[in-house]
Amino acid sequence: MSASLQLLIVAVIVGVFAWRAFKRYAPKTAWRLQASLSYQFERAGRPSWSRAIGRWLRPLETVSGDGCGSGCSSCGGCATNPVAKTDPLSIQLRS
Amino acid sequence: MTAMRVALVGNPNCGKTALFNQLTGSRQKVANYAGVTVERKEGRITAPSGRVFTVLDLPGAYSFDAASPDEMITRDVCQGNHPGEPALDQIVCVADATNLRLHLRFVLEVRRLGRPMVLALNMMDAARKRGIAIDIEQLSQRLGIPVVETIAVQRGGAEALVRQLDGAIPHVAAVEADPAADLHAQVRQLLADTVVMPQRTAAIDEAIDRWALHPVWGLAMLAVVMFLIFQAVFSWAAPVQDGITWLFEMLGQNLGAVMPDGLLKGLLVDGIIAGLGGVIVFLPQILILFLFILVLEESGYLPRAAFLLDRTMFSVGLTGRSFIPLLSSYACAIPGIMATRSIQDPRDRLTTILVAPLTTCSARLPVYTLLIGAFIPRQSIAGVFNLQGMVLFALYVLGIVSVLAVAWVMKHLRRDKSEHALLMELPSYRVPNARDVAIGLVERAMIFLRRVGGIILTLTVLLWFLLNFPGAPVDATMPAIDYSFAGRIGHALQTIFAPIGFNWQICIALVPGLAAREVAVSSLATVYAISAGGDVATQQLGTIIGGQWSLATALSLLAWYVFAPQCLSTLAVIRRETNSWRNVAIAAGYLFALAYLASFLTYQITSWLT
Repeated sequence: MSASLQLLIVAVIVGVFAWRAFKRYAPKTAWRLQASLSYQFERAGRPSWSRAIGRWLRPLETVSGDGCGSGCSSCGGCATNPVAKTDPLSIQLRS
Repeated sequence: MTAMRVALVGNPNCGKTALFNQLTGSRQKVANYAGVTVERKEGRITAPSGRVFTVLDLPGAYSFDAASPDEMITRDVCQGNHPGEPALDQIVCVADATNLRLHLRFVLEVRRLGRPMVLALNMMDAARKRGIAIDIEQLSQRLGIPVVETIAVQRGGAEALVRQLDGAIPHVAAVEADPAADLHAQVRQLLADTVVMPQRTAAIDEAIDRWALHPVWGLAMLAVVMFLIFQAVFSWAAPVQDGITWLFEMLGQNLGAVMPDGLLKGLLVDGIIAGLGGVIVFLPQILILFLFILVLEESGYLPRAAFLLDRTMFSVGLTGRSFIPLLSSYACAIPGIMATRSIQDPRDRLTTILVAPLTTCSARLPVYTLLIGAFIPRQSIAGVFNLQGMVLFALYVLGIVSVLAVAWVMKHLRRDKSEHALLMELPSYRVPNARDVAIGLVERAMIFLRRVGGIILTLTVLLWFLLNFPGAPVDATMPAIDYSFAGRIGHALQTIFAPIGFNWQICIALVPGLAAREVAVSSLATVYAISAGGDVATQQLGTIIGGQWSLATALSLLAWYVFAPQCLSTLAVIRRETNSWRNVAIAAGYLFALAYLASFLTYQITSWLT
């Protein structure tokens, strides 16, 4: 296997994992990025092959976060199951 | 056809989640203590008639006068006031048949809503064993609602309930809610008319509790149980660990032999195999630890431990209610922090959240056992005890002591005081169900392997890239890794961490280790595999660091991991649960400061002594 081919394969693997990490820790930003990229390909006037790529790139309607990333699965994916916004918990320190 | 919405409600620890699992075939966590469920869970069942039901499993509540966030969810859903939650078609009120004196009170409260409802008398097998006879017909007439028997932990134990749900929706006449009415008196009357109970508590429970709840012998028993667990973690896991290590060594060697030299081989052998193999080897120890935790959870012993520790916890500003969240944090701080929703007082809840990251979560185990295995000799004390197990036990004790110490400091810094005494239900002892324990272990193994295949693999690949690019210049005088992105970051960070004895390799591992603690182990394995190259790359990580690090550095890193908030997910959950970035800053700030201080003292003192 040539060095260039190896470099190409490694670049693809690293790219995929970099995107995976980005999606995990910045799901909303990743969603916006993917949506805007998809829009560029799908804009009116683009050829059919470009629109097909755009459709393939189009993200799901909701951000299906990996929860908090703990992998514990005990909370049913905390990123998509927010608790009601309440007053912040705070401690009153002694003056 | 739209699915009918049914909710399971009832007092904590009456078996709602077990019933939910039985009905829907799901595998939500169950345990023999109150407060396991703090969120609503949803599942679906299709009845024999083809009707579809959406089943909600709600957190346990003692009454509708909600005192904690999880009880509020139950109250609001039952009353139809929960935002975004459609009204319920039917309520299934679950009651522990062995403890109707307590559980019927809530049934009467739900009954007052006047909504269609069914009473499921759960744990009927245990009730019969104790000689408790319930006149179901009479109870149903007196309550004016259908009553069915269930045994949630037995296959087919919910069939009567499914048949009832599948029939006509029962009409429940509205009951005038008289605030002056004494529900307890009504319960007593109901019990007198419909239940024959030979004695209030099981004789065996009382016999065991005479020892388990004794102020001296009870604490001694708790210490012995914990000590034995950590002994077993080291003693039992070794043969399986050796097998896994051998497997990964063979895989690395064989793959290295057939693949041509180059980047791809480096990524697979030095990156993925060395990195993941370095972490997977700790799976047996994690499973042994969880085997004991699951058995204790199922047996009903853990609430007793909470009761025993209540006085100590109260003296440092925590309450006994903090025990279960802190205990959950031993698996992972995230469910532990979420479990604080069962704590009624917001100030106590915040204190518990802030100290939860100090409990020794299972992600620390690979780091601890790597360092203990490399630096603490495998020898026995008095021919019985394993020295490595004793050191691991000491680290867990250090975690507990630090929780108590930080809570004590917070107690003295706080102006607001809470005075909530512990009111906790002690469940009956139960022989752990082997199937449930086995399912729990498989779940834990899958969680660990998902982490390995998910976040750990992802960061290992990215770290390998950062360790290999850019390559060394033509006129390089140092090893190639020193010129890489990661190498430069490691050397830059070393300036900060040199006083606590960390070398640049450790500094590199700390960065991806922020995503998950175990990643530090896979990162170290990758860093040393790339640094060494060739055959040395397949050596065990423990052997390599044992030869290259000083004892002071190893102990300093152990001290770091006792305190450092090396987990971004935990900080994210603190933000979510407290709705405040300030609390995140406080947690991260004090934990990093403690970690640095503890490592500094450990390193300097050990260096001076050795």
